[in-house]
Amino acid sequence: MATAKNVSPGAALLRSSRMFSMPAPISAPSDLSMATKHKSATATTPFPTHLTVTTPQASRLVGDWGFKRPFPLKTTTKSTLPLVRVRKVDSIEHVTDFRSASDHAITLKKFQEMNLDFTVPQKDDQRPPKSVFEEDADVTALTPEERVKKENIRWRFNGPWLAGMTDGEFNEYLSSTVRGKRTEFRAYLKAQLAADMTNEQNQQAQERAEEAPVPVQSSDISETAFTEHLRQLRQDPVMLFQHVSRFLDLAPLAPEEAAFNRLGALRPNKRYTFSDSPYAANGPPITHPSAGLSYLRTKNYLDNHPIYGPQQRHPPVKARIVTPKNSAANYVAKIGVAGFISKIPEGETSFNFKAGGMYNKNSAIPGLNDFQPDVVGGSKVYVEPQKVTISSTGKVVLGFGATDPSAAVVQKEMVGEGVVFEDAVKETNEALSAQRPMLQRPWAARSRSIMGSSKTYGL
Amino acid sequence: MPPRLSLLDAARQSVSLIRTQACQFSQTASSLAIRRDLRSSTARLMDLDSSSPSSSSSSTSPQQQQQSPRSQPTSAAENVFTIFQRDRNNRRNGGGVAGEQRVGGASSTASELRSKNTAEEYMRQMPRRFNIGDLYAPHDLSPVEAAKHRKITTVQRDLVDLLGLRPQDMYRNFSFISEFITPHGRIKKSYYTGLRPVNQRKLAKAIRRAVGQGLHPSVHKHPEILMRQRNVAGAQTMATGSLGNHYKV
Repeated sequence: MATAKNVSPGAALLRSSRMFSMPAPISAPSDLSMATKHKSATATTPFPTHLTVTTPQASRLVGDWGFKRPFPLKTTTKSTLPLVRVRKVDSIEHVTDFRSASDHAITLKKFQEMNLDFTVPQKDDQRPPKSVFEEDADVTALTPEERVKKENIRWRFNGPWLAGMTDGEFNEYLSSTVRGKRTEFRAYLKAQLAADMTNEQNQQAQERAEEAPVPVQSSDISETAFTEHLRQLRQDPVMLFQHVSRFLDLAPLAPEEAAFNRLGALRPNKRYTFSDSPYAANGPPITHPSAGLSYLRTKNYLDNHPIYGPQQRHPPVKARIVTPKNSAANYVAKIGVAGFISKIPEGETSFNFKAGGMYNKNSAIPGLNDFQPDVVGGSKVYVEPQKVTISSTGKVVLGFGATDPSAAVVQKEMVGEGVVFEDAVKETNEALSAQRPMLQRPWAARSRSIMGSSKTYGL
Repeated sequence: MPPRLSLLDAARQSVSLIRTQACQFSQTASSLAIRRDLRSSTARLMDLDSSSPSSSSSSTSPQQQQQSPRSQPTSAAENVFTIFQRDRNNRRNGGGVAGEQRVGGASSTASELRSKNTAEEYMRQMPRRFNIGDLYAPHDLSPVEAAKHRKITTVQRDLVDLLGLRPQDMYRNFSFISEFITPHGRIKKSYYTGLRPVNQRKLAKAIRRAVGQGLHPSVHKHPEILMRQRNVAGAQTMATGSLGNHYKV
């Protein structure tokens, strides 16, 4: 709370009021959905931009949400949870502009119930993923030297990720930011050349066992020598991009390696090194790679079941088949886990089932290929959420896999969708009674039903 | 171990092959009668190893006779009629007969096709294309939201700026020009194109130039575009008027 001691009581009151403590909304997601013809302004955005406000039940019943005027009861008392996002505290029409915030607030709750840890994106799925909070992955405060040294680790860059820009955005970036830095860049290149020359001199001196000569300064380099250096750089696009990206602090790129392998064949003495950054392929996230959604560092813990004991796997999650595979212009099924449209597991799994594949019709997931209109509430499937990352547009990219059938059964029993334990107990009892019928006789005699006939009328 | 190909079998094979070939061209009753009893040369080749080579040519099983429509002139029609009648009875009774695989298969295919059509009709009511990372709440799966995604709306971002295009250079690009004119060839207002005034003026000039140079028709879209649009279904049911069923968000 912003109640400072040194301010006047009136100022303290104002500062702690909802009027002033509401943060300004963050900028809207910059994906290209607004550049299409088919969209909805009221669809849930990939991430919230406004603060969610709640109020106690007693206050909600009188419309008191702490704002300038009470909220209408008709719209705010219907929902189970009081969650509202205020778009304008006071508008020119003298109303407080608000709408429900239950979409994002409850999605966050659902996400946190899955106990997932955010991981650094990785190219191959062989090694176990690493948490974004590990010491060597979470680097924020860096000196200029460390910036260069840790460019394959860090996730924050001052410049943009070029592969994620449209042509128009790139042209705009060139004209607004890059073009004015020409002289600055020449000075940077000169300093780099001077440093390289000094290094080379020192090495040669060491080989000859002499004392190190005077370091080369930028001012020592003649204009003709520098022009010659520039000509050489122009012939070497990889080196040139390295200089440019370090100068502008661009996010790393993952070029097509095949093209550069061919280049390498042409210049056998030249070795090209490519960025190893985990964020090169799909771009660095716009937030911290965890986005503050989860602070867990691992999911290597055991879940305990009250009857069956420690479980090998975490409880699977019921996912919704939002769009089946065989719908109009859709070739991959869209599956939503906890409200996020998630990445379908790669390779030959039951989620990307093919007619001629190893999975026949019986093992296919019901509702994955065709919409099933008779399933109440929509088709669902139990999945095992595996890893989460934040994309370069701020979206949550959740990867999941097929769950273990026994884990699904245990979870179904846990939420009351199936009876496994009771059935097992009943079966054991029946088997016992079959083995030792004498033991069970008194109970059987007591519970025997009396059949009625036409003479006794059941008496 | 006896030789895999007995000499007798090999000889019979070649003879029957010649007989089949001879029968190909003849339509008389006698040749058809020969062909009826004769199995094809491939089938005979497959059976070379079987123990009873005589069974294949001389004695045809009653099942085979019923399946081959040539055995009796009216049997083919009769078979079709019985299958159709059984299928109809099954549909009336609301279930397949357990023993009859073929008939049950036919009706299940029909019902599968019918359910597929129903599913497709439902899916047409949910036009939103979700992307990975999109968020949905119950509201996003409602009919209200689905209807919003079905409407054609104004593009909210300036496409010319976004894509880094120069409208003056686009006078030969008829798909670009067709995007920004009405079906009757009038230049769309910036309200509908979503361009900022500078780009709208440049675009209008490019369209006027293209029309003036005779590169683009003035009263309809380019024929190449029209040819493509002909394949799109549902044009007749759309609202008439220069702007169609346009809906502004």
